[in-house]
Amino acid sequence: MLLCQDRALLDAFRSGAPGALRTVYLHYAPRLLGFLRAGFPVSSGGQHFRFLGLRQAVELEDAAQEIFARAFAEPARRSYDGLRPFASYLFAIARNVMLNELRRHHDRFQPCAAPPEAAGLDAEPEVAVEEAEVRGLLDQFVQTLSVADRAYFGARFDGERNQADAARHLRMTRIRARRIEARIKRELLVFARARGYLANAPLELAGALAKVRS
Amino acid sequence: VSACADPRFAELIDELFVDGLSRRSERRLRDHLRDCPACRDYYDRVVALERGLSPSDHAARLADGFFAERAPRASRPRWIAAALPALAALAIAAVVLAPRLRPPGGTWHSRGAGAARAAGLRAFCLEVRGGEARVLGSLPSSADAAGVLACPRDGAVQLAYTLDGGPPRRLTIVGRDADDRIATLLEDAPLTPGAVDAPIAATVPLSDHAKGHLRLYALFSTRPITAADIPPLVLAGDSARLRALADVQQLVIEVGP
Repeated sequence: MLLCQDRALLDAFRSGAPGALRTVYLHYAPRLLGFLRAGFPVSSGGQHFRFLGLRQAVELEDAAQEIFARAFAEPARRSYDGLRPFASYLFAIARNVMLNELRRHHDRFQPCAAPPEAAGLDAEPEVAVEEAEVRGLLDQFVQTLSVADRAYFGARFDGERNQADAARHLRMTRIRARRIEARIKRELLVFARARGYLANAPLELAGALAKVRS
Repeated sequence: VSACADPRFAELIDELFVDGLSRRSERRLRDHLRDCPACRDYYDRVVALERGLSPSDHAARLADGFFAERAPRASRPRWIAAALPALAALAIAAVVLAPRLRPPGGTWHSRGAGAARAAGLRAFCLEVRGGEARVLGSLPSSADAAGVLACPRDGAVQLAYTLDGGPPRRLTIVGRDADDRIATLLEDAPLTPGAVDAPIAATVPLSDHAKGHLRLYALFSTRPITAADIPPLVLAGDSARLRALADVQQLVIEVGP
């Protein structure tokens, strides 16, 4: 509803102001990525399908960039009236982009007897299992953190703050927050490897990163 | 879970997750991922962690890539283009800050040089919020680029010079960023002898700058030099010819996320 409720932002978006485009991108990207991962019903030539979703991160990210590029092209921006929800507009573009893939990647489309409106919109079980696995891993990882690091983790990630806001919230400098976060993330990679979630790194991570930063 | 076959790309994926990559490195990684199923699997897992921590971070990373790839490429790099007119805004902050631009360790000292060659540049990392500016850290220049000044991407770098009471000196500053974009920041400007950490009109906002190292070359010369000659020498890494023209010192800024 972002663009429907903010006339100034809508005007800036339609004129292509970089700040407005970025605001719109950041607001809608998580939903678009979720939509593309989960899959959705589509119709073509009187036939109904379920697009099974994009599982690989590179494909998912490339598709999202392609969809935003179309949505942010000048004719598309100018033609957006601000009355329809922008998410629906974006999802319509996503359906068209993915339908163009129907011939090349038929295996990603499951024939569906029911019309699209009746088809479910729940995420594929595989996606739900992966998300649950990551949530479980993160829950276990947090238990291994020191009190101070857990406070940072809570402010930054559980509190859904960006790094600058988390730093302000914890009354520390941005540079200190950045260092703490980098260390926590390095520890998370090591933890994920130890638990078998990630394959062992060909190089020792800590040493490699220390070399990069020195 | 498959291991990434090429350790260099596994490292890049880890770096991307931990602290971000320069635009050039990220492009190199993405090109590789399109052709390497094993690295794609590894990338999938790391991105799932990133998303699990913060879906917004994943979106922000994609937004950075999206807008960087579509930004018009001016003949002058955008970070420099932004720097010169930005003086109207940030140089005001610098003037206000000037009395406070003092490093914790006192005044600048030339590394390994006698008093007769005491000329140097210092970079101050500034956090600017609502008209208020705060110094987050500083780093003196040196002949061998010793040390790195980390500065967040929403910050700015203010430069200041120190010069002894010896012969008049002139200063040219050339910058080279992580994407190998290069530009002249200050052209053959005369310096005031005896100045200590005097701010110069060259504040560099980092918001449009690629993550990674931004390297500044400060050329202190006793005679006028043609600033246009310097960028090709910097790009070519021709330190011998640079040193023939001037006393060359370097500063490395690590632009953060």
